[in-house]
Amino acid sequence: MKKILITEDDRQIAAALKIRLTAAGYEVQIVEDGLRSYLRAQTWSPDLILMDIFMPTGSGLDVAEVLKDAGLDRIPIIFITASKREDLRERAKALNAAGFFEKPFDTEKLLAAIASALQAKHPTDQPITT
Amino acid sequence: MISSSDILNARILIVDDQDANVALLEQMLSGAGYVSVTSTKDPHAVCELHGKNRYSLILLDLQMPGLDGFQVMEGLKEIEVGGYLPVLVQTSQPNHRLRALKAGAKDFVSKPFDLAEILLRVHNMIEVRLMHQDAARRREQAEMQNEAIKASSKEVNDLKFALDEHAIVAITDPQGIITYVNEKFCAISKYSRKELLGQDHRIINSGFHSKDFMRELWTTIAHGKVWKGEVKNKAKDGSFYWVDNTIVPFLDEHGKPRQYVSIRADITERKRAEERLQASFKEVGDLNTEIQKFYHTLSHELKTPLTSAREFVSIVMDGLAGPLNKTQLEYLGIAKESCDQLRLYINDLLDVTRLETGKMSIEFNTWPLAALIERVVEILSPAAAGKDLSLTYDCQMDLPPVPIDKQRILQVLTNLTANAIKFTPAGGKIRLSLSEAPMDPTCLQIAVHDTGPGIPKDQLAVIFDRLFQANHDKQPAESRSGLGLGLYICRELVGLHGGRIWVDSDLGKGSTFSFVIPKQISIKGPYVLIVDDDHAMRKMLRLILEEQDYEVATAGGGDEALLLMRQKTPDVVVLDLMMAGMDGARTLREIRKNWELIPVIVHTGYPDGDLLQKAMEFSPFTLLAKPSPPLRFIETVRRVCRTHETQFLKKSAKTARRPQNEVLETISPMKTHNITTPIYEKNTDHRR
Repeated sequence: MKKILITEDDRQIAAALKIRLTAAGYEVQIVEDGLRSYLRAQTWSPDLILMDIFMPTGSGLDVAEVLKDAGLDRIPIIFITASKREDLRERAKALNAAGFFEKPFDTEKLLAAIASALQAKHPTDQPITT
Repeated sequence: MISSSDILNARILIVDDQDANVALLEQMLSGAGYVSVTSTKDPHAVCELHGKNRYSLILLDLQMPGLDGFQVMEGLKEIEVGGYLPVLVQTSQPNHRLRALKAGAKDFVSKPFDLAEILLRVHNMIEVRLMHQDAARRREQAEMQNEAIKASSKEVNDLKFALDEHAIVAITDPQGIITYVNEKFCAISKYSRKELLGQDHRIINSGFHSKDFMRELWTTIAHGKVWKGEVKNKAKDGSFYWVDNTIVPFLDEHGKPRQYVSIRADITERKRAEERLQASFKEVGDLNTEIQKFYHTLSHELKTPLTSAREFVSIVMDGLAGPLNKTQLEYLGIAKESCDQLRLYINDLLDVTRLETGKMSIEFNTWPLAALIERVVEILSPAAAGKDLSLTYDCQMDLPPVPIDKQRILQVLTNLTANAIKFTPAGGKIRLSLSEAPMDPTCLQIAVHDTGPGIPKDQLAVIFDRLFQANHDKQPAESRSGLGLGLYICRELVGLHGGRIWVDSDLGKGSTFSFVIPKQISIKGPYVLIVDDDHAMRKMLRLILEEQDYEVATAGGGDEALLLMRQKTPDVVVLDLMMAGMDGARTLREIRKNWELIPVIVHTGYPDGDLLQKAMEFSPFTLLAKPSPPLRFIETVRRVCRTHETQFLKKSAKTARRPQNEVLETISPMKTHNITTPIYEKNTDHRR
């Protein structure tokens, strides 16, 4: 069973995502901030991270960078944010994100992006889905 | 000095009643080379002759019948004011000699004549006489020169007085030590003259200007060139003042400056006004950023709970929380749709904020428009089918891809098509079309045709305005919604692409929303005419625009501007108001007489002035405060040029909108806070 780490400081959204992903057959864990996401990524070794951007203790983009530095960039990351700032999308692209979704997101598309990111050998093979 | 030819040319008069004497003297003198010798036997005629001819020498016989030599001399004294009688008397009586000399004769010769003696005395006397005359002439000349010097020095004093009355004047030596200051200098610097004289000029240095600035100043004047510039000085009490300074180096005979004369005008008030303007510009800029930030935060905070609401609704709908009956599913569907609606509104709000704070960025990529149309139809087909509407498209083949921001044009198309779906009653038809623009082969035209209720004529003009909403009473219930931002956003987005949007409508039959997009981003910049009587300002604005690939012409006044405009019509005119000669308001009037459609940016540092009031009569124009930061200036010119292009196209379109009176935002620093939209040169709609 593929493991997905949800990094999201909004508990309701995290809970909704967990229900969705569990129903879709994934094993899911939730962390609520950037630091915990970084630690859990190392201890739990998820196959994919769903990453909010604006969170306490480090933005999702920062976490992705740190993970990359730690040699964990093989874990595909899909970003989800409520912000419309265009620079965020650019940064995500630069980090080879497996996807970038704006809240509220289209659930089906999100599930499709997760599935395809998990199938790809390298996250960079996948175009950024929006 | 006196040459021998001067002496030989001297006029000589011989006065003698004896023919023999006259003949002898004449013969003698001409034999010695004298060329201008005349004679008379009539002593009565002597005075008159001398008055006329001013002899250098009169050889006067003392004993003559009727009038003797002494009497003649008395007469001559009346003519020769100053008393020098050029008279050489001839006498045979020794007692007459002294008497004659007393009477004013300068010398005597004895009769009978001694030839050598006569010639010597004649020569000497003429020489003395000429020297006298020469000296007198020189004295006269010197006096005249004196007079002239007196007059010109009075003039200099008058000028200096006038200058002192008007300007702040200081003189320094080449080392910058103050050697002269006028009253005004003392007054503004708050130092006494005593405190200033002998001091280094840096005593009033404010420290405001960079080293480079000061170096440039000193280099210029040290090379004997005039320096002009605006300088901030410091007064004795530590307060600052601004002067418009002209420093003129006075050069010595080697061309080296021997002193510097600095003439200044107090521009502290103007500078303060400028600073206030700058500050208010910055304030508005900050406000824009604040607003942008606020809307971002707002949207973030709104979307987070919205996301969770929508997610849980969709989880329940998908049966992940247990089976649902049909009614439950239907109600949840409505809730989910509402969430989607809310999301669109939040996005619209953000877009408008971006557009109005000038922060909407457009990323151009060349893209086939037909692909976008297909995509929109694909996305919205389910919605159309749900309302039993036919949604079709019709694209002219072989059209080139055009430079667009794909997402933004997709947004426009989606908005227009969704509107058509919303307003067209069941069974209607919606058709999207793409073709070359019939009015302009440099553009592609996209149209969304519907068979909806149509739009009343009075609304055609305002339908793209912000917060416009369709008249509620006449619309079906489901369309009574929305923020009224959709079409406004469409217009602005199309505008950012260099295109324009408009609507044709037949009440009861349907509407067609059309927009055009240029096939190419114009490579050659628009032609801008800058009219300003300030040379430095012209130069600066020209540099700013040329940097941006604009074609630029400059005029120092209204007349020159009109002349240039007749040669080539500019795309936009940047017009100063306060100009010598033909001022900006009058220039604008002339421009409007001949070029009704040319967009004008009135660029003024006095947004409250009478001239602006006068200029208002010849609106529309865009008002831009002077000085404006380069980026704002460029942005304003760009915006105005763009609007002009669309207006030109519009003119030929069938449904040209009525001229709209421009909304002119006042830029007085005092009123800045009341600006409803935080953009100065806010969208001045030039369309006519």
